[in-house]
Amino acid sequence: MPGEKPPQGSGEETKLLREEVALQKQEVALQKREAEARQAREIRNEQLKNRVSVAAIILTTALSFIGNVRSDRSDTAGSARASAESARRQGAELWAYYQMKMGEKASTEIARDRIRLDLAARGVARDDPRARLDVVKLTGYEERIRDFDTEAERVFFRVQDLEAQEDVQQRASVEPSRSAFRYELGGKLITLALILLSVTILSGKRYLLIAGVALGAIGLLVALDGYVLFF
Amino acid sequence: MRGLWRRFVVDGLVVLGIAVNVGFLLINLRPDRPHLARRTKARILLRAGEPRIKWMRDNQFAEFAAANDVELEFVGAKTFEEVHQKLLEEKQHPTGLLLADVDDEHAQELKDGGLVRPIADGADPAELRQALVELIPDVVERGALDGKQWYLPKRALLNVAVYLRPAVEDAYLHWEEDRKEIEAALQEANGVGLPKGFRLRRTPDRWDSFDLFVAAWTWAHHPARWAEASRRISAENSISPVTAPRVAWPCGESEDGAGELLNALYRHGTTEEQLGRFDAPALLDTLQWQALFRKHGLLPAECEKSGLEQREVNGLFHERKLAWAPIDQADSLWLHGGARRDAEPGMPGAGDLSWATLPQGVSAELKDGLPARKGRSFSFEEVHLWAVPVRSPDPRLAFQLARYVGQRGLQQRETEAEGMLPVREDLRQDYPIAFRLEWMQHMLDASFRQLERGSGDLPSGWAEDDWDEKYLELRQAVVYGRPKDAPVTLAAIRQAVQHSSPPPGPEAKHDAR
Repeated sequence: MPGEKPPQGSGEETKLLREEVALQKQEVALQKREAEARQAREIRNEQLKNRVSVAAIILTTALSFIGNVRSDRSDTAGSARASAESARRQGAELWAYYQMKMGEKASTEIARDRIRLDLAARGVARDDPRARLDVVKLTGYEERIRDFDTEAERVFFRVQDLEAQEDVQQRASVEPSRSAFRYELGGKLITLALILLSVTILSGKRYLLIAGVALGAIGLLVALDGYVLFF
Repeated sequence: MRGLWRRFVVDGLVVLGIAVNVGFLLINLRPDRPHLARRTKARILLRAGEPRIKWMRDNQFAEFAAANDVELEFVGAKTFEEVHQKLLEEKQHPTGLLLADVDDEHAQELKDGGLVRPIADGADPAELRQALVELIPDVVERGALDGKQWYLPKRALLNVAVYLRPAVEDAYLHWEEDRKEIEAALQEANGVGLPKGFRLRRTPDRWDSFDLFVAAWTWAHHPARWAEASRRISAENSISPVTAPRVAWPCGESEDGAGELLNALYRHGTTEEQLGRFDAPALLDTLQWQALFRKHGLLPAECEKSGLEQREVNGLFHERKLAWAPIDQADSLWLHGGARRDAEPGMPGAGDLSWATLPQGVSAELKDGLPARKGRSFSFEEVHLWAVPVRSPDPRLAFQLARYVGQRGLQQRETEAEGMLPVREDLRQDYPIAFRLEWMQHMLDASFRQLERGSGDLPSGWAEDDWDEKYLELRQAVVYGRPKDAPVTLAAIRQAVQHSSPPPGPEAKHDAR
C-alpha cells in the first residue's frame, strides 16, 4: 500500500529478484548468441555444400568428357595395333607363299641343270638337231625361272610393304596410348577428388573441400596433358 | 574486404572450371594431339646424291618431322671433304644445321677443328646408353673420342668382290685351255710359272692373286657369251660375244685409285708401320702383279690413260662388260637394283651377280713351288657417323633424330633400298632372317665374311702425310710409266721402284719388317 513501510525481508527478495532477472537476461543473451552461432554455422554449411556441389558438377562434367576422349584415344591406339597385327599376319602368309614359289623355282632350276649336264655329257650342242626336244624343255624351264623371279619379286615387295605398314602402325599407336594413359590417370584423380568432396558434405570439414578441389585440379591438368602431351 | 576477395577467388575458380569443361568438350570434337609448338626449321647435311636424299626424306625423315613439328631441309654434299668444308662454313656463319653425315676418317679432324660438338651433349645419359647398346661395339668405338661419344654411328661400308657367276663357271671350266700361255707369262715374272699343283678354285671366296690372274687371263682371251652379248633366255643370241678385259678396279690418280692401291698393299701384307718404306716386299709384290695385269692386257684400256674411278668401274659392270671387280654395298645395290619396290632398277641379268671376299694377296715369287709370301684377304671398313655441328640449334633434337633414323625397321629398309652394312647389333645377328632375298644374303654374307677375314680402319697417315699421292706416283711410274713389254720380274720392279721412289721424308719414320 502507498505510504506503508515495506517489511524488512522484502529488500532481500528484491535483490534476489533482480539477480534472477539478470541471470535470465544472461541466459537469453547466451541463447541469442548460440542461435546466432548456429545460424552462422548453418550458413557456412550451406555455403560449403554449395561450393562442394559446384566443384562436383564441374569435375563430374569434366570426368564425362575425359572418359569419352580417353575411350577415343584407346580405340585409336587399339586400331593402330590391330592394323599392325593384321599387316604382320598378312605378311607372314605372303612370305609362306613366297617361300613355296622359291621351292618350286629351285626344282625347276635343278631340272634345267640336268638337261644342260645331259647335253654336255652327250657332247651335243644346243643348236644340234638331236637336242631339239631338250632345247624346247630347256627354254621352257628358263622362261619359267624368269617368270618365277618376276612373280616372287612382286610378292616380296608386297611383304615388304606390309612389314613397313606394321612398323608405321606400331609407331602410330604410341602417341594415342600415351594420351589414353594420361586421360585415365587424370580421370582416376578426379574420381578420388569427387570422393573427397562427398566426404566433405558428410563431415562439413572445409579442408577436405580444399583437398578435393586441389586433387581435382591436378586431375584436370594431367588429363589436359593427355591432349597436348607436354610431359 | 576479405570476403570480397574470397568471393572473387571462388567465382574465378567456377569460371575456370566451366572453361576447362568447354575445353574438354572441344577436345572431344578433335582428340588428336595439337601442334601447339612453333614449327621450327632445321637443316640436315648428307653426303648423298639427290635420289638418295629424296629416298631418305620420304622414307625416314618425313614421319619424324611431322611428329616433332620440324621442317627439315636437306643439304647434299658429294664427298666428305665437301661435308668438312660445309661444316667449316657453318661454324663461321651458322645457318641452322642440325645434324651432319660424316665419316670416321674425318672424325678426329672435325673434333680438333672445333667444327662439331659431342652428340652426348644433347642426350640424356640413360638414353645415350640405351642407344649405344643397340649398336655394334666396334662401330660405336669409331664414334667415341677421348672417352666421350662424339658421334652416333649411322652405317658402314666395305669393299667385297662382285662377280658374274656364269663368268666364273666359264673360267673354271676352260682355264686350262690357256694353261701354257699363263704358265709362260708367269714364268717370265717369277721364273717358274704357276704354283705347284695349281687349280683354279671354283669359288672366288677362296681365290688368291694367282686365281684372279688366271681367271682374268681366261676371260680376256676368249669371247664372252655371258657378258654384254648374253640374254636371260638362251634362245636370244642377237649380239656376238666379244673378247675384252673383264677384270677392273679403280686405277689412275684419283682418290678411288689411291684407296684401291692401299687396299691391294694391305692384301699383300702391308701394315701401317710399313707405309713409307719403298723397299717393303708387300709393295713390290703388289706392283709386280699390277704390272703383270697391265702387260698382258687384263685390265681395261682406261687404266693406261686417265684411269677409272669406282663409279666408272661400276658403270662397266652395269653394262655387263666386266666379270669381277671390287665393290661396296651401296654400289652393289645400284648395280643389282635395290631390294625394294621404290629402288632404282639395276643391270640386265642381275640374277647372275654374286659376291665374295676379296682375294688373298700372295707374291708372284715362288719358293719350293708355293708363293714365297702370303698376305690376306683385306678390306677397309668405312663407318659413317651422325655429327652435331658445333653451332647446331638444338643438340637434343639432333640426337633424337639420329636415334630415330637408326631404329631397326628404318635401318633395315635403308639397307634394302640403298645398300650398306647395318650398324645395329640385332640386324647383324639376324641378317639371314631380316634380309630375305637370296642375292641380298649373298652380298651380306660376303661382307660379314670379309669383316672376319680381314678389315680395318684406314691408316691415319695415308692422306694426312700425302702417302696416297706418293704411292700413286710410284705406281704410275713403275706400272704404267715403263714400256708395256718391260720386264716384270721382282728384280726389275725393285729397280724401277728404286729409280722412281721419292727420297725418304721426315714422315718416313716407320720400320719395315
